[in-house]
Order: sequence, then C-alpha cells, then structure tokens
Amino acid sequence: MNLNRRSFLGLAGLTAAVAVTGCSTSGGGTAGSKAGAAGGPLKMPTYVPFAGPTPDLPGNAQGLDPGFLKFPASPVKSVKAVPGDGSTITGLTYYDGPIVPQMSGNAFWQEVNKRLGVTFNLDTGNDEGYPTKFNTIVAGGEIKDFMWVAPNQGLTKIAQLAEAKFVDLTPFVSGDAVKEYPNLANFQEMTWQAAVMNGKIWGVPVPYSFFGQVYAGNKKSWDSVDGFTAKTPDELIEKFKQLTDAKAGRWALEPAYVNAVAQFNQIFRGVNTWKLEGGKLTHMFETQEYVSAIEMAIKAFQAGVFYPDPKITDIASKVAQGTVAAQVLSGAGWVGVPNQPGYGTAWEMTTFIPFGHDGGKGVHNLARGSVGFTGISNKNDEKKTKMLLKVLDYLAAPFGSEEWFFLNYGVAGTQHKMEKGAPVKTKEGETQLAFSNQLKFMTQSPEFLYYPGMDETTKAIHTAQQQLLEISQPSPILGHYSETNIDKGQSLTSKVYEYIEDAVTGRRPLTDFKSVVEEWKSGGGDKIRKEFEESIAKAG
Amino acid sequence: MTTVESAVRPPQGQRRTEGEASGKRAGRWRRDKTLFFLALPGALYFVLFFYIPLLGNVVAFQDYAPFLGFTGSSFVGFENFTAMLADDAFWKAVGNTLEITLLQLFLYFPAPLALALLLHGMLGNRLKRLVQTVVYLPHFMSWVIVVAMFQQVFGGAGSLNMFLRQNDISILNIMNNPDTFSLLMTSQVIWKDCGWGTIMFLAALVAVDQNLYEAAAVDGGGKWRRLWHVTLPGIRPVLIMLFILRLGDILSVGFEQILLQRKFVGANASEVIDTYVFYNGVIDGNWGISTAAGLMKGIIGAALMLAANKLAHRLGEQGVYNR
Amino acid sequence: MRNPFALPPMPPWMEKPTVLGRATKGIALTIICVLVLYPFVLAVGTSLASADELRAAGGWVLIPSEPTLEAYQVLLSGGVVTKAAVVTVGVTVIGTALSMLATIMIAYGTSRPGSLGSRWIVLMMLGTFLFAPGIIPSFLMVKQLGMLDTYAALVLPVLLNAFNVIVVRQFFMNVPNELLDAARMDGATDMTILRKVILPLSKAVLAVVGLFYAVSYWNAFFNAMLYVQSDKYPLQMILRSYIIEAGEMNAGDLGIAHLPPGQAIKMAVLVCAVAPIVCVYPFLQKYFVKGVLTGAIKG
Repeated sequence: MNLNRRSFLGLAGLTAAVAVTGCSTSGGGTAGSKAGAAGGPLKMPTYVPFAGPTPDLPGNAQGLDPGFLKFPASPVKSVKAVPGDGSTITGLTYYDGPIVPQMSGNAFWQEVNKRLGVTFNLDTGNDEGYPTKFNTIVAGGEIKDFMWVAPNQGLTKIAQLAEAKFVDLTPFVSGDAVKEYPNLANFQEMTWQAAVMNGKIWGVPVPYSFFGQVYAGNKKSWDSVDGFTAKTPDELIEKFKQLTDAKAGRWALEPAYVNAVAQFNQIFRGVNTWKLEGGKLTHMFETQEYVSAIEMAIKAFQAGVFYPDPKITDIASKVAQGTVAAQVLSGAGWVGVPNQPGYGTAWEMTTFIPFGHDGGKGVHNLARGSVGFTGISNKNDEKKTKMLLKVLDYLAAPFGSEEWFFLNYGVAGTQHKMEKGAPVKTKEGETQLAFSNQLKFMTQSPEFLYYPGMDETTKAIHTAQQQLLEISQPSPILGHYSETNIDKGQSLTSKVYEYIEDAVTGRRPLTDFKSVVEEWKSGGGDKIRKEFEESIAKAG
Repeated sequence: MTTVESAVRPPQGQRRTEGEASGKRAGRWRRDKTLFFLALPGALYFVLFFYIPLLGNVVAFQDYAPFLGFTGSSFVGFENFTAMLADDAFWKAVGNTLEITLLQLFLYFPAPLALALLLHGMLGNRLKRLVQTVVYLPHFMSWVIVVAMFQQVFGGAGSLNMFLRQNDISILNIMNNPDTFSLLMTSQVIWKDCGWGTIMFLAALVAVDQNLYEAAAVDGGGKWRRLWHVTLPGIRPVLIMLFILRLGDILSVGFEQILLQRKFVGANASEVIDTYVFYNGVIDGNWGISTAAGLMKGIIGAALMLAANKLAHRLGEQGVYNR
Repeated sequence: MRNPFALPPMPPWMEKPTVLGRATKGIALTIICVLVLYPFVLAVGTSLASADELRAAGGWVLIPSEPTLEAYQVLLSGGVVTKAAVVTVGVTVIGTALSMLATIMIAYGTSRPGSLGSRWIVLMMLGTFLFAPGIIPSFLMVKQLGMLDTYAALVLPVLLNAFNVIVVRQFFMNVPNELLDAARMDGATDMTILRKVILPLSKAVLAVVGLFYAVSYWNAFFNAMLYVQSDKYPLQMILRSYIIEAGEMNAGDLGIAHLPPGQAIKMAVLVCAVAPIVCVYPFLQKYFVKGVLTGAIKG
C-alpha cells in the first residue's frame, strides 16, 4: 500500500514523497524524552515479532522485508476470538480506487462484518478531498470511531486536535500492554513513532515500507548500457543520453524533477532531510550536496533526457515498454511493481543502487516505516476502546496468518479459488475485495515480499533491499516533534520544490536558490530547526 | 433608422405605477403580495445556504482550527490580511489573475457571440441543429481530459512535436512555455466553452422581433446594417447583463484548468488567486489567510460590478438591477 | 434525404446569399466542427481499443483495429455504476424540476422594479457572485438541517443559481409592457399573467436555464463527496474515481493485481458521461432555434 503517489501529494505541490519530506505529521518524544500520561517517560510498545511461517528470505529489524517464495501452506491463526461486540463502527479512511459495491451487495464486506463481529460503516476521501473531508467532519463535531490522520496533508494543529478528540492510547499499548494485541505488537518501534506526539501515543500507525524513494528502471533498457549504475555523475548522464532517442519517442527519465534531485542527492551522499552534528541541525537545502544534485538534474534536463512533458499518462506502461527507462517510486510502490499485470513476461525491473559521485558508495535515505495513524474518538469509553483496538489488531494481521489471507483473498470458492497452491481472485472477488483496501488505511500488515511464481524477482528485490540498507541513513529527526513543522513545514518545503522545478527546467537561474532558501528559513525553517534541536536536546 | 432603434429598445422594466401615487403601505402590500410570496422561498434559500454559511468567513480574522470551531478559535484581528499582503506569492497571483482575466475578457467573452451570430445566420435548420449540437460537446469534457488531449496534440511528446522531430524541424514549445501560458489557457477555454456560451445568445437572438428585420430591409438596410441596427440592439440588454455579471466574477479564472497545468509552466506563471486560496486553505490548512484572500476577491468584484451597473444606467441601459 | 446544400426557404426580405459568403461560412463551420469533433472521435476510438494496441500506440488510438467493448464491461460490472446512474437521473430530474419552479417564482417575484422587497432580493442574489461561503460552514448548515446522508443534500443546497435567476428575470422584464397592460385590462391577476403571458413567451430562456440546471446536477460530485456516503453516490463521483490522476498508479502501489483503470476505461467514462446529455439535447434545442416571440406578438 502506498499513499504518496504522484497525485496524492502531487496536487499538494509536492513531488518528493514522505521519504524526502520525512519530517511530517508525527514525531514526539522518544523513550524518555517527555513526560508520558502517567507522569513517567513514555515506554514504546514492546516489539514481539509474529511467530508465523518462516520466510524463505528472512527480514530484519532494520526494515528488510521478509520474502516468501511460496504461499504459506497452512496459515497461522493470529487472533484468538472474534474482536467485535456486534456494534457498528464508523470510520474515515483513505480510498481512491473504483467505488466499492455497497454492503448489501457485497458478500465479502458482509463476511468481514461477521468475522470481526462488527458492522463497518466507513466514509472515505481521496486526494485533495481527504483533508477537506477530514476537516469538515472534525468541524461538524461528529468524530468517527476511527479517524485516519494523513501525513503531510494540511491537517494542522494535530497535537491539539488529538488532545481534544482522540483517546490517549498510551495506557493501552505502551510497553508490555501492547501484548494484549499481538498483531499490533508485531509493529516495529520506528513504525509506532508515527502516532507519538507530546510523549503520548495517539493512535495505531499504518505500517509502510521503511525504504525511501528508489529509481526503478526497465532492466532490458539498462542492460543495453551496461546496467543502471555508473562511476561518476557524468557517466550516468551519458547513459541517460544513450537511452534517449527523442525521434523514436524514447526518453531515459520520467519528468519528476524533484524526485530526480533527491536521487542525485544520494549520489553526492547528501543528508536525509536534516543533518545532526553536535546537537545542531542543518537542512538538506543548506548543504552543498543538494546544490550539486540540482546542478546534475539541470545538466540532465539540458541533455534532453527527461520525458519532455512534466506530466505523463500511463507511466507504468511506458516503463514496461521501455519508452521511459526509469521512474522514481516510493519504497512500497517499488516492491509493488512486480504485482502489475504483464510483469515478468513483457518486462523486468532493475533498481538503482546509488553510487558515490567520487567513487565508493552513495547513500539511501530511509523513510519512516509508516503512513499516518488511525486515531480513536474519545467518545468511546475504555471498554469500547479496547474492542476497537481488537478490531485494529485483526486488521493488522501479518502475511502468513489466516486473518491476513481472509482480508486479502476472502473466502475460497466465492472471492478466490486456489490454483497451484496460490489463491487467484475470481472476477466477483476483484470487485468485492476492493473493500479491503479501505480497511488497509486504518491499519494493515507490515510489509513483506511475495510474488507468486516469480522466485527470481523476489530474490532480486530482497537483494536490492539489502544493498540499500547497507548504505542507508535514517532521518535524524525521526521521533521528534516540531509544531511549526506540522503547521507550516509542508507549504514551506513545497515552495522550495516549486523553485527546483523552475530551476531544473531553466525557468529560473540556480543563483536564485540562495534567496529561496533564505525565504524558507525566515518563513519558518529556522523555527522548525530550533524546535527539533530542543526536542533532540531533551531526549539527550 | 431611429424609429427602428427606439422600437427595439427593450421596455425599461415594468415599473409599477398603479397605486404608487397614494403611497399607502397597505395598498402597496395588497398590490405586491403575490409577487412577494413568490419570491420568498427563493430568498429563504439564499439566506439559508448562502448568507448564514457566509458568516463563517469570520475565520479571516481568526487563527482558525476546525476542531476548535468558529467560537473556539482565537481572534487575530487583521493579521491574516497583513500576512497575505506581505506575501509575494499573493501579489504574483493577483498579477497573473489580472493578466489572464483581461485576456479572456477581450478574446473569450466576444467569441461565443460571434459564433452565435454565425450559427444564427445559418439557414438550413437541420444542419444548424447538427452544428449546434457539435459545438456544445466540449463543454462536457472534464478539464483533466481536455488538458490530457491538449498535451497529446501539442505537448513536448505530443503528435505535433513528434512529427516535427521526425522531419528535423525544431519543435514548438506550446504546453511548457510560461510566457504564453495565458494565451494557451484562453484558447483552451474558447475550445471548451465557446460553443456552450452561444446558448444564451441564441436564446436572446430568437427573441428579437422578426418584424424589425423586415422593417429594416424595407428601409433599405443591408446585411451588416441589419446586424448593427437590429440584431445587436435587440440583444443588448442580455449582452450588458452578461458583461456586468462577468465583471463581478472577474477574479475567478479557471481553477481546475490551472491546477492541472501548474507543473507545465511553474507556479510563477500559473498562480492565480483561486489557486492561492486552495493551496493555503485546503492543502496547507491556513484557513484564515485563504478566507481573507477570498474576501478581498469579493470586494474587488463587488466594486467592479457596481461601477459597471452604474455606468450602464448612465448610458440609459437597464443593467442588472435598478435602484 | 434532402440536399443539404440546397437553399432552404428564407424570409422574403433577405437577399440571396452570395456564393462567396456561403463558402466562407461553410469553411469556417467545417473547421470549427473538425476541431471539436477530433478529440471526441479520439476518445471513442480509444475507449474501444484493446490494452495491447493502446500500449503500442502510446495511449491514444483514433480507429482501433479490433474494437472491443471490454472497457465498458469493466465499467458496468459490479452494479456500482448502474446504481449510481439511477441516483443521478433521479437527482437530475427532480432537482431540475424543483430548481425551475423556484427560479420562475423568484424571478417573477422580483421582475417588477419597485415591488415590495424585490430590490433587496436582487441585491442578495448579486452578492452570491462576489463571495463564497466556506466548505465547513456550508457543511454545518446541511448538518443542522438534518440533511447529511440524504438525497436532499444533493438538491437543496444547490437549488438556485443566482446567474440563472437573473437571466430568467431579465427575459421576464423584457416582455413588452403592452401585453401586460392588455392582460391587466382584461382583469388578469399576477398569477394569470405569469401563466398566460410571461411563461409562454419565455420558452426559449426557460429551455436554456433548464438545460443549465440539468447539466449542473448531472455533473455535480463535490457535494456528494462531502454530504453523503458512498451508497448514495451519483454517477460522476463513480466516474471520477476512474479518471482522477491517481488512476494509473493504483494497482502496483496497493500491491494488488487488479487491472489499473487504463486509458480505455477513462475514455469509456467520458463517453458514458457525455452521451446522455447529447441524447437529451435535441429535444430542448427546438425551443431556442426558432423564433417564439414573433408569432406571439403578432397574434
């Protein structure tokens, strides 16, 4: 699952995804930073990994996804009892696919209700409509039982909103208390950070890839130029040129300039949004590495290797065709590519592992392992809150569990049938199971790799993940909180990004960058820095 | 000619005179009560769904947060306005809005009238209907598709430029050129809505008394003379009304259309007041600033509309409303 | 079939058009029609093309080599689109009827300058051009009136459009005074004048405004998004979910292998959205292509 697709953030004037703007909604006291609910330091939920089927390619706590070559023959039961008490659950969640058939005409939805012992009554929003819908519901005072809080989406004053309207979940999930909900205990600490503000846990995070953005290329195209790597930036640009043939309608790169700059930044070993040195923070906009990355993107643009329009229809099929050789994808989007129809027969993917501009290795900037969190309305008493957490626990069932299998494939004979040991959705199932995509934005299984019948692909991605992890760096502000960043960080960053688009395409000179960064600083960048530095100092 | 012209001039409204001399309230009430009760439900609609919600614009003076509500959010005076006026992006947006809107006023506003006259002058009824149906079609295409189609034809990788490339002719930068963006926008609007815009003019044209044409022809008026002395005066009230209404709305220019093409030309060329409001309010959550910008827009529109209406009265026209 | 190039009957006072004049007009109209029609043919062609052909052609196909209705089948499967179409037709028909009724009432009620309250009501309507209430207060009003998640929320908040009212009012005001005086002389009440004089003379504008209302109900989606749950979604809300920019990325990103709504489906959506309006249009058209007023005044 992936939220930060082009349009969701694209309309927000934001091309680079959560990985780059990493500093987003969440943050807050790491263990011991601020007083928790009970007055003591916040204890993060204990991590108890799911004891399910052993993966063929093991994952690890740094974010490496477990890989499965075969569908687990006998899924494990991960939820002991029916979580619900028969009541109706309301919720606001994200969904942008074709509208799901309603409950009365959707056997899968009915079955979900039955197995979870509740009646789901969900409201959804998508793209720019999500913040609108969220804010109107909040203003109307009818907070739903579950409210998905989006990262980076103009939802301001989140900390105060949470204090006013959400249940403080700290007593329910902090430390060993989370063991009540084994599937939630299967979330790693980094994932939980998404829901922490002011030293309290305000919701259940939605797990998401730990990997930041990557360049995913068409293997055949890149094999023709000796692979998607190089020794120097100039050599890479030379390869871009070789892959470009405008007359034949072929280009090397998709026209996502800011994302390209983020990739090039990794070649220059640029920082992951912020650099922490002796308690002082430097933003990537203020680093020479980032300027070099912009320069490299300008060179690439002048060489004409970007697709010539800033928007592109059907980018996925253009990469598959090789008419565009590479596109930037979020971590989750990247591992989702092999699930696209036609993959493996028509084309295969190769992943760019950043090299160092002066030899050696580059870096990979990690994401945060979550995409927002789901808050629980404080209209619910303790008993109801526990029931709601049980429901989320069911939804968080990991790959390899019975519950995950049911949520993704429904019931055998109705929504799917088994073929060669792997489930295949029926036509009916395709439509009905879209409902499970609404549930996924309340919470879902942690990431995993599983591509039926494509062992080589699974291994290749698992290897690429290991290579990226070797050179990975997390954001230093992860787990820290700045109110200015929540309220203004988004718009400040997008202003700089709009300048970068102008600079790369030659609409504004690179010499303007300095003043743009000055504006960013005076507009709130310096204040954000101060708030983060204070938070880091407190945490020691 | 003067006889024809004065005859065509629309009656100056059916100003009520009976009973007015007495000036008695009761008489007026008896006289007007039917009309008053007819207008009442509509008036109630505007109060309920427009004016009461409009009070919410108080957030222009607040540091508003939805969960605090209108009563719970703190008042900040004119802070949002000063912040907005100090924002370069706002002035950029004002400049771009003016440029685009003036261009559209000159190029786009008359286009449907010209097309309507062309269609009206067609004689074959069946062909006329067919052509009319065809020109209305683009109105129903959403902007997403219109922009995608323009890109398909005129974009950097569009069919026109691919053709030029293959024949070694230098390509034309039509979609990605900030300097000509306002022209591109205007032509897109003309393509999409010119046909649709003819409807109102056609309805006005059929309302012109045919006898006047005959009279003009008898007087020896040729085709152009008839156009000038019969047709145009005949639809003048409608023209003026549409023009005044357009002035009130002058600072709204193609929100969705621009948003979709922001990436093509950058924010510098494409930020208009509506997108400024959108990015500040919905995307960034600066409700106060975005509402303040909306209010400013309305005040300017109001001034223009009132001035235009007054001018219309001076020139002996009906305008949109009477004193 | 009649020869379309033969001169149709024309008023006796009009001079015979010159060959040159007719040719210029003909060429101008032909160019306009081609400019307008090309994208539609392209859309219909693309909607009928197969996925492979589209991929090979780069997203657009003018005339598909092997036309297929697959895109339409995908769109219509699952019953969601058909249910939404019923909602939209209902909302459009009932909404347009109510809107027309309310528009005629308020337009007539304010059409005589100097009558009680008319000036204020007109000013009130003009105000709607200038300012806009925010999304949140509008939402709160709909909530207060208990209309959340009802079909009424798709009609009542957009019942009147000030532009349409003012246009209708303008046409009502242009009905010649002599006719009204004559009617009054016969002892007609205001209601009788509306029914017997004003309305019959205003068929053209009423057809136009009716079309405006119908089209806006047909195209509306924003209020549906805010005010009702997905079981009451109108057609445009569903179609939009296929057409918004996100479309292409879904399948891969969500890690699920359903077919992404490709270009063909997008274009099928376009065809579905436009076709009904195109079909209804000719029935209204007759009211505003031929003179209505002439005969009436003479008679």
